Amino acid sequence: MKKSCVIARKDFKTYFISPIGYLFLSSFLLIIGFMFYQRLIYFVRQSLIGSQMGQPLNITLNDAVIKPLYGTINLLFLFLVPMITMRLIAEEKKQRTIELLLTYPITSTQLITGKFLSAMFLIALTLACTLTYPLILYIGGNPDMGQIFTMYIGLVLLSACYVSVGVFWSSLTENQIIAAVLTFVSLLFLWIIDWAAQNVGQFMSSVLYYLSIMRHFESFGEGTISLKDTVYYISFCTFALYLSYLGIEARNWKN
Amino acid sequence: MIEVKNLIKNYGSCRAIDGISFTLNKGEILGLLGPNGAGKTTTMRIITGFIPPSSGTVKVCGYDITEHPIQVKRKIGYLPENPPLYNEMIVHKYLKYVAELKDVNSKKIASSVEKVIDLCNLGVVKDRIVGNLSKGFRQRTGLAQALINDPEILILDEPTSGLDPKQIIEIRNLIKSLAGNRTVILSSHILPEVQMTCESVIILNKGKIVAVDHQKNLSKYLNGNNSYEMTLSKKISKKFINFIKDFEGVLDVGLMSDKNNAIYIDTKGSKDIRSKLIKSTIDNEYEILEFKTKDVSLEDVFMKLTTEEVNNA
Repeated sequence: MKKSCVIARKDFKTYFISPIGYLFLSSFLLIIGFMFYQRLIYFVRQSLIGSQMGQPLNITLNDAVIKPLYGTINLLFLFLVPMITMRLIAEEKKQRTIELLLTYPITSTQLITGKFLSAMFLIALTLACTLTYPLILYIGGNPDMGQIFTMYIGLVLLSACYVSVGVFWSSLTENQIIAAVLTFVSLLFLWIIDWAAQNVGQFMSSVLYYLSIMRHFESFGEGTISLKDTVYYISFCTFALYLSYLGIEARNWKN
Repeated sequence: MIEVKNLIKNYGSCRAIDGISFTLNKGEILGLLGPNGAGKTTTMRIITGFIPPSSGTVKVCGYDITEHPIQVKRKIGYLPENPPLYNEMIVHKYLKYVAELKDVNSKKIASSVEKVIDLCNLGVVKDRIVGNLSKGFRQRTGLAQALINDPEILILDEPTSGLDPKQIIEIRNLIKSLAGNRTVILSSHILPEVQMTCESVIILNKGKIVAVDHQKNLSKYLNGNNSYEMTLSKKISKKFINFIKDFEGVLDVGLMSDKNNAIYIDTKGSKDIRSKLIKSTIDNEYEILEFKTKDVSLEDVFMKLTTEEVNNA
């Protein structure tokens, strides 16, 4: 674990040596900031109209602002996570630094975990930056903080899945573009897989619903922490990281 | 210290190394010599545990590389050819990172980094970005990362390739000074390098060992013959050449190409004909401008062994 942290720390710093880390953070925060402002304006207008008409407000702060906001974070991660995971292992292969890394006394598991954690640190930092929005709402209004809390738990779990898929593809190729495209495509596919559910039998549709990476986020969005969904995310993540482990170990199978 | 047995490595249908075996004792410096594609790098990569052998075993300090990779890797410092380094990192931070990965005691990390920076003369560049270093400093940084955990075994793949002559001498001296009680394996296709630094030599060609020896004994592969070259003051007559040919122990005599006043004489090593040769040359009214014994260099041995292999194939 100590060595995983050493690798994670170094790779995390590398994000901020190159523009990638700044680009990721700034583009993310730009869009989320825009989104937050628009939703907030919308909510304020709605409540103004409501109070002028003397009608009770039929929408809560959480429904009008928080839920769409975290839906957007989710969508943005789908696009931006491939950007931060693509280089993790592919770059080591391209620069052949993996040759030295694998002759150091570290295991493939430590390497994979380190790579995974480095991207998760960046995700954590990004999510920490978004804490300002609930804070603003808390100061000026009365949001449901419990629901916000579970959404953060859900987002961390969901992004861990995104990152693990990214690490997996990055472990298979030395081309960063290929790693990014494949990560994006497979994540998108896992997102929309339940569209097919309507056209298949009952058993298959329940399987597809179960596989859909987004369905499992819903319970967190409702303000609950469901064991079933947590288990899904953790096992998904573990499986993808195990595949990445095999991706590194594959060099030992040839012949 | 290092025990390699019957190592075979296939890349698809191509056999990169074919049944290599050798043992190396503590403190020895072994040179792996061979043309490009002979299997030097592959052998080293297997010993360092980067790639597995197709068959055969490697034992380092009694540990099998496939069964106890971590223990083996702790003992080895490896410098690949054109050392792959993190270009975006600063030299001393990079070395610190490597030290942490290589199990250097956390209290000793700072002092280990200082030590290798001193040892490899990296003081002037330690605050610079690796990507901006010149080839020579890159190579030394590579060497520094190999040395950071003070390994018992050093494996250096073409440590002087691509350096200028001054840097080559510096790196060579550095390697020599490092050897001490370390076991070193060094690969090269540059013969003087091996001649100067290594105690024993393995010559590889097409994945096979074509010669193993203490480097001083290698010349005997040329059947122990001696060769001389002689430049005289005027055109050498055929009659004189035939006259020398009849000397006892002379194998071959002939004019050097594009010169009519210089000849070469190959003789059996057991028979020294030099004084007789010089005397009779002067008796034939030639003046000797130059007389030299051609040293059989490792280069000749190498060429002979590797081309023989081609002829046999």
